[in-house]
Amino acid sequence: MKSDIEMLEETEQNLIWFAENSGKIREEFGGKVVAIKDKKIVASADSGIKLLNELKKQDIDRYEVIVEKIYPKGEIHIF
Amino acid sequence: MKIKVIYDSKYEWLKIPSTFISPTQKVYSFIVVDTGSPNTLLNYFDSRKLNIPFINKSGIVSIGGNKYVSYSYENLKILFKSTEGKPIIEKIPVKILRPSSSKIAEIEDLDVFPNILGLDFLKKYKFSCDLKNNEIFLEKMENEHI
Repeated sequence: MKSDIEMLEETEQNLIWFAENSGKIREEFGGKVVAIKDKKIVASADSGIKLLNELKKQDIDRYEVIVEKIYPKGEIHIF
Repeated sequence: MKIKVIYDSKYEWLKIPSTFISPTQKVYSFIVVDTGSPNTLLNYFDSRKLNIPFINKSGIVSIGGNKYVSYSYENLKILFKSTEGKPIIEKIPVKILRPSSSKIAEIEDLDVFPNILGLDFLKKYKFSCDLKNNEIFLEKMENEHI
């Protein structure tokens, strides 16, 4: 089992990969919610709830992935 | 001790890899640095995974024109990794936004809302931000505790 620090390092690598590829990802998955693992999109769905179901189908644990909402191109999200 | 902040230039977001720890569960995720938010917010999606009880109502939070019911939770720890690869654990009160109705659209919106690191946390750190050179850090002062 991986340590917390190892998991944080993995998360960091996945976030850097996402930042470097977010333009392409946005084109392909705009409007979807995606799950990222090992620098790959392993599942996508229209909502967080549906994504959880998709992860279950693939037997992937929620704890193993980062979940990101992909805002469509041209849409800016302000909190 | 420094924490590296990741800059997503397409989204214009600043993110930090984080582990959220409740008394019963752990979630590996990330948190968005938001100097415009007075409070640190945990999203609904992660709060359910962490088995956080919705007991202490904490007023209405308005975000992007929508209003949400918030709950406060004082027993959450957030784990970060320092640039030296060491753990930094902080215990900080958070607010959790919960849907005020069973409308699917509202639940889905909150489900994918990111976790937010607000000023209540940031004021305890030195925040240096050089976006041009991608050198963004939170630096914890020695002997400074939240």
